[in-house]
Amino acid sequence: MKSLLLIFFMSVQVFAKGGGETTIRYYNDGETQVLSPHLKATTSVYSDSIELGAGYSMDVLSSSSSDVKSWASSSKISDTRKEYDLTSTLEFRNGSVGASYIQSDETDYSSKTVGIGTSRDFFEKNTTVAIGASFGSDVILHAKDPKFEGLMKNANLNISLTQVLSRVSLMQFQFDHRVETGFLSSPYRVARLKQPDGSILPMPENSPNVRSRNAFTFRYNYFWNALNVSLANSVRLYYDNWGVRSYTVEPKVTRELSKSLSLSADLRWYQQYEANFYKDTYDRADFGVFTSGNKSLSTFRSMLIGASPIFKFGGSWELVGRYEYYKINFANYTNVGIPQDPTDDKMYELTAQVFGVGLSKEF
Amino acid sequence: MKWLFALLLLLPNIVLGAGSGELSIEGDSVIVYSGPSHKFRPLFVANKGERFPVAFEKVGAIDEAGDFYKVLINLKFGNKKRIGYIFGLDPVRMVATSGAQEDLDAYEGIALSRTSLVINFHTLQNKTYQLTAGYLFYPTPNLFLKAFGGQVLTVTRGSLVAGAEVGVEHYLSSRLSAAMSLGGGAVFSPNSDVLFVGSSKVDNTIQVHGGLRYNTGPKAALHFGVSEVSYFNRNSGVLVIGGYVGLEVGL
Repeated sequence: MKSLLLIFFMSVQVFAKGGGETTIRYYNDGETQVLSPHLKATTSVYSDSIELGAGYSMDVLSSSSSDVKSWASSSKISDTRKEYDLTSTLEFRNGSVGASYIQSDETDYSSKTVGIGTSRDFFEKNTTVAIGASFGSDVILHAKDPKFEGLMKNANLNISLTQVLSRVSLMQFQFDHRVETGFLSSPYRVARLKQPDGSILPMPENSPNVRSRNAFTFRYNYFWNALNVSLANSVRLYYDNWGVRSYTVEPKVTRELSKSLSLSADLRWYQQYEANFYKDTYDRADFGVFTSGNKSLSTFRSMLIGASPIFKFGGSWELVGRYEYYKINFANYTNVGIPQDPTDDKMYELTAQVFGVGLSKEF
Repeated sequence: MKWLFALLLLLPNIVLGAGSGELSIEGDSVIVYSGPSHKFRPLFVANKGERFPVAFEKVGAIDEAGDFYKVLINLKFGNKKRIGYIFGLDPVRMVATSGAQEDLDAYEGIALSRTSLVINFHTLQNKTYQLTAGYLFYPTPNLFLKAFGGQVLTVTRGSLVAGAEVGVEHYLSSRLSAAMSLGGGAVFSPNSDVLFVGSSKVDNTIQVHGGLRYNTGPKAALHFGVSEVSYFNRNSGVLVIGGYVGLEVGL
């Protein structure tokens, strides 16, 4: 008993700092519903020099989207994705080195990713340079074809420079490079080939087996003292070797209403231009090597409006609410309805709402 | 007599006989070097108000005019204490200490070169190898810049590679440090399809290297670690991971 007590007190001393958080999120666009609970815990050891973390997330999905209704053999699908992550961070005098492992599994998809990263402060902590890299290996299966197996490798490389400009403002430049190789199509999605009689013939997708993606992000944060308001703004430019280009603008405003309550509102505007081999429907005349029915490669724009009340209580507890309204309009992706009936075709658009709540505590 | 000694300790930049006290940082930021010269690698920036145990006798600078304070520093991880150097004309002040005197001669020095020539050999997936020579420079503590050039070798052909890297370093001990860098550049091949299917005569590369550096002294270090390398152009590319070993020679 004495030794058990000793171990208990020793562990209290060793695990000096830590925290925990839990969130739950519900997405609904009328066709697809996703419930996403998430848990995360962190602790620090070795005089707070090493921080360890573990997380668990789930996505419980049920969908009867237009893709599913038009091309799948069933009118509704459901699946559960489970994700585990482990993180460790080694703290130094003016920086840190970290490593992470993430594993995600669902019925027809599994993914493993390892990552390393480091950051360092310079010039009295006014400048921070961070570098990160990760490597992932994904296995893509087919729910109804046990012989099908696609492999996809991916790597993310990134660097950022954060500069404090004054007591109330800072800016950040970030560059992200991602490479994906292997099976980059979907075993379910189809490209649509227009027949001479006007009907549509579904064809398996065939995407290039390498995609290199680059993104440049600029962030600027400013605290407006007189109004007790903080502004966090970002602009992101993206392009890849498939010809996809996109622009994202994301302003966010947070106002502290009292010591325990603050409210934030944010907007995300996104414009994308299609991949060079993407077509809504392919004609026999222009049916090339690569074909895709992936609407995320088409031209579209989306807008997200969100709001989050943040309530602090009991010293180190935090309760966060979240609401998002999301709208997406496709310029060249058709909701085909019944594939053989061209009269019910219309340009695809989607409206979704997200509700979330999270609770966290620091020890 | 005691009051005279105390008065002397209050004066800045004063040289006393053998013994120890503390060096107080008076300026906003003062660089602590790994050796007694600006040609040695800067270790970190000490902030105003920080204090370090110091040897009263200053050390003459190597290959330059002036002298340096020899101070005891803490590399944080594992609370390992090592010897660092602060330039004699920097805004610092000697102060008296009441505790036990530290024997600075009992601690190891670090003494790393600020500029180096680096040779790296990377063995990557798909029987791809990269051999580069580079010039490494530390503009400020723990941040390095590197220009490199060399060859990318596949089973049948070779391509030239040239580029630049930026990286950060953390000292784990006097001999061992962890470093990570991200670089980009261009690869020049004699023909198409040399480096990967769809490669052209000029392709791009982005690479991340992360690993450990073992410092054998001011003039040499060995490093090893993992690399993640992407060679690509507008139409295609390849992703390869692997390991690297390197030799660094201080200039």
